[in-house]
Amino acid sequence: MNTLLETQIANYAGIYQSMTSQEVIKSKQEPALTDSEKEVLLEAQKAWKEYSESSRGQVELKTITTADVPQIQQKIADILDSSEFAQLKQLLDSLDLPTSSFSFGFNVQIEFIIGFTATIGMAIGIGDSKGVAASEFLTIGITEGIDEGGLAGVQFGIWKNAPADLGGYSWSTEVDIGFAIEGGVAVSYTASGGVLGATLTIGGGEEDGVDEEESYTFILDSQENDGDGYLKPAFQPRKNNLLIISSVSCSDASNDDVGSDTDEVYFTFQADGDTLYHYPTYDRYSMQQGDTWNCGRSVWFDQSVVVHIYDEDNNIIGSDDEHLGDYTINISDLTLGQTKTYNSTKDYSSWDDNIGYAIHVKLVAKDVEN
Amino acid sequence: MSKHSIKIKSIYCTAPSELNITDGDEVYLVCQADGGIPIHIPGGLNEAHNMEAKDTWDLIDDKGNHLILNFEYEVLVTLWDHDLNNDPNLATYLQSHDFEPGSGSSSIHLQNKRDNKADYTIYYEYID
Repeated sequence: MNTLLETQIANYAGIYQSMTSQEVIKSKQEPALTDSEKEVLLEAQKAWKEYSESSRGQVELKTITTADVPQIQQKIADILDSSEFAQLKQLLDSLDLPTSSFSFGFNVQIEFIIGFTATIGMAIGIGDSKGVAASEFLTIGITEGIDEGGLAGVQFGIWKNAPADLGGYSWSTEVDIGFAIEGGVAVSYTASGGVLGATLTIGGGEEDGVDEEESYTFILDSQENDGDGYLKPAFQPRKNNLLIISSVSCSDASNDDVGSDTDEVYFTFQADGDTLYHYPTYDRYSMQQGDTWNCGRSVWFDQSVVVHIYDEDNNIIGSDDEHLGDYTINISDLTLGQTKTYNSTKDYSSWDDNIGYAIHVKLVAKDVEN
Repeated sequence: MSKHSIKIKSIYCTAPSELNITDGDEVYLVCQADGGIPIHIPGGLNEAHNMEAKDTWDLIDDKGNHLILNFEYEVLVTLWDHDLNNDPNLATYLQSHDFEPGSGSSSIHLQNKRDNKADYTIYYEYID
């Protein structure tokens, strides 16, 4: 499983889990796809077959397996712009559709103790919303029986709502729409039982007889409004050892050009060269000489963790921020249950400005069976 | 795998961030047990609880359930101020505390001394 993608989806899985699900009203509208909507789904299926079987498509799809959420969104836009999808786009432009959005996304299955299925996708305006700005979304729901996490097919959708308005709860039920099509077709309902749209899922072992499968859609970005935004990685896949960066202490803050003796501190950590995380995940924590920040950031690792402390200079994290300290923690340095202090390996002796930050690290689990 | 549980009973606000600038903080918690899935309290990406000085937030949901966090080694509770809907990147970090296994009831005072002056206390009880 692509661990960066896993950490990004985990954020949305956590928010979905923390929400209280709504009751579904049982009186559902009868699903009915118009001939033109069926034509769209059939053309989408044809376009996908042509693209995914082309030599270029096969090369490009291999890169998806290592992509993160923004990269997958970019790939979706590229695929929709490919020649194989030209006829589909022409059809979407020419038909008088009762729907307002067309979507295309990749399905991902992932296990965080319980199984989740996510669709990372893009929606464009059609019908009444033709020409309306597109949106990027992530739909997440709980699923059962994940054999192996990873990419699990693609999903096309036609929706009553405009691209920016696809967010929120929905419940999908597989239906027979009366014509032969490769893959599974499901109708999505709102909480009140109204039809929200229909999806065609191809590949990934479509489930048969799915009934009222709940999911929640986050609008990550939309040209019409800001969307829910991309959340930064916080979830960490388990490794063999767990440490806590219990605190960061400042013995000497940096002095900036305007004479301030306060640093706007954040740090990054990276275990065994894998995903890079920020803490705080957003924002920073101000420190002066003599301050201690009891940050309590746990980190799973196998062999080593590299930590860098920065002073956020211009409210844009990562752009020319001043380095305050570098630290490398090795498992061989640590004793279970004990705290070790690390001073920065960065040498400030040639600088006019002395800078002194230390991190205090406690090993809380070693050789964990996962 | 969880071996321990802690009840987060309430949060008391001595002073919100940006005191006298805004109408309090729009507080939400991100609770992450053993580095796992970060859980957002209250539930929902854009949900938060308004807190002004001397306010207490009792962490009980609509169904009367207390906030119970299950963990094996530690659970990190981070307090955020929801500055702007729809963009978590603009949230303000108030403070955080990492709970390790323990016993009894107590509180932890969290103060952001230099920056936004947020001053909060978490009341908790170990239940396992």
